[in-house]
Amino acid sequence: MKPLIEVQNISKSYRMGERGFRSLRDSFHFWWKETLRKNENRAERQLFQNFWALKDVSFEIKAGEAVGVLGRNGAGKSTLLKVLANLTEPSEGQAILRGRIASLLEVGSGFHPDLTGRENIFLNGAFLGMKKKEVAQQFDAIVQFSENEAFIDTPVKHYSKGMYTRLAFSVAAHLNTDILLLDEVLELGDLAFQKRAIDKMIERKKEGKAILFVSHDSERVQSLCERALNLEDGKLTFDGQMAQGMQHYLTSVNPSIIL
Amino acid sequence: MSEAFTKVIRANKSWLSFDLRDFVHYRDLLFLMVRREFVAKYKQTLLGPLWFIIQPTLMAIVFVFLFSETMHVPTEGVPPVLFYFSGIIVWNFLSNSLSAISLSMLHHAELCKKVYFPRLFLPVSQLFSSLFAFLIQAMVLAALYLLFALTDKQFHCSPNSAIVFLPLWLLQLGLLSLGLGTWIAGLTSRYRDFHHLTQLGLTLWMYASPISYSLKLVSPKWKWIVLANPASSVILSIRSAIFGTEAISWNVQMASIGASFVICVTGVLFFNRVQRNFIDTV
Repeated sequence: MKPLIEVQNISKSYRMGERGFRSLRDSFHFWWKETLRKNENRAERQLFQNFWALKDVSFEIKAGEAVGVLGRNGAGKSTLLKVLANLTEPSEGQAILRGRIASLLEVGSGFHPDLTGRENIFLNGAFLGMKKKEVAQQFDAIVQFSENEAFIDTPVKHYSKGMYTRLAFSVAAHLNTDILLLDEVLELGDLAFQKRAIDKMIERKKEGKAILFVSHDSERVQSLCERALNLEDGKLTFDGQMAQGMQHYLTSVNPSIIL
Repeated sequence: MSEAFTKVIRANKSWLSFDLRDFVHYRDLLFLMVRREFVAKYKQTLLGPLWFIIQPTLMAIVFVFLFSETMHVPTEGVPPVLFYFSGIIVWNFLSNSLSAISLSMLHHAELCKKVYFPRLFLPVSQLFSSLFAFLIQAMVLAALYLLFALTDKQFHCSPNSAIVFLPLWLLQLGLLSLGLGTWIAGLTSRYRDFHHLTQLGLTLWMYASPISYSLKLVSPKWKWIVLANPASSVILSIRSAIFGTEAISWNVQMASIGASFVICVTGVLFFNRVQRNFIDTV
């Protein structure tokens, strides 16, 4: 069987430096400056440079695999998930995703504050590419798992952070998707919910989903994922067993740590 | 899992690459987005959907006092209230959907940073939501029309057979606002200048459209300005079809429909190009 996620030499670059235009005026200003400097040294003219958030990353994830992405802030973890979630285009390379994708890159993405919990479950399900019927089938399970039964007809703008997190996670976890992309989404729930959420993910994994999980909570990552991908400055530096990956990560953060 | 859901994410796609399968998969989302746009406009209001009627009604009343009662501007034999109300609601459809579409990308930038969905749904849902508002207003116009026909003995307006083209003209307005709106939305995601320009442009455009005056009053020297404007041909044609006022030639109409179509196609292509990585620059 073909892997659910196939990432081939993906790179993503951003422009750095002065060139962050907000208005036409800035653009003309920049263009004028460029023109004046035409005779100067080319290197000096380079007001901006490319920053590679991801550089030549390749890996595969099979059905039933849960993979934890490890790395420090700015290593490219979120960029990787954004590219795979089809939010922004890679600069180079390609990725093949075989199956339906649910991405939870931030709590409550796709929730509308004025709509009730009930309306938002359908809206959020639709954002994840589900039909109304499919959401309806899972509706009771979603509400029950989120423990928001009493507030399901209240606009979500009155929800607490925890309630929001629980509802958003429940929608993503219950829908019939093949690939789950999760970026630090459990942090706002309490410990009991985090535990239940991880158990739910393990259940989904056993059903043959592919899970890509980003979290700074090493305990959660280790309990869900058996495999690690380490990113450092946009490059993939390790791909293998979670225990070794974690060791690799901790030494890269602080070379004096020896587990 | 099935092959039907396989998605390839790649660098440097062509301008013409549309993920048409996604439009089908996500069709329920489009419905919910239209509903959300429409409902959100009157959530937490006392008068609710009545707001869709209040604005054009008040505008029409002001026009009646200003242009008919004070300046005695003739309205081609149409009762002034009907004359102005019809112009105002057609213009509102264009202007409201255009300004909503032109901001749709910017207003939903946060959403676009977090979930994938066909980005073209943003402008399209705004268009449909404006269309529903227009249909409500059109029903009010129909009711007013009936009221005049039944109570006013001097009333001698009548619709003619051109009324079958109403859907075509609405489609043309839709294409025009979608096209211009997507152009501006794409440009605004990069340069905020275009937002200010849109507001100014719409105000000027309104005066260049025969909303508060009839084409007969425009001096022959300047008629081309009014006729070169695709919104005018729609307003004039609709008025002519429902009230029996003077129609405009098919040549002008065809040119206007052609222009709207070209604007729409190029705008949608441009929008599709910009949306691919607009969250990096927005």
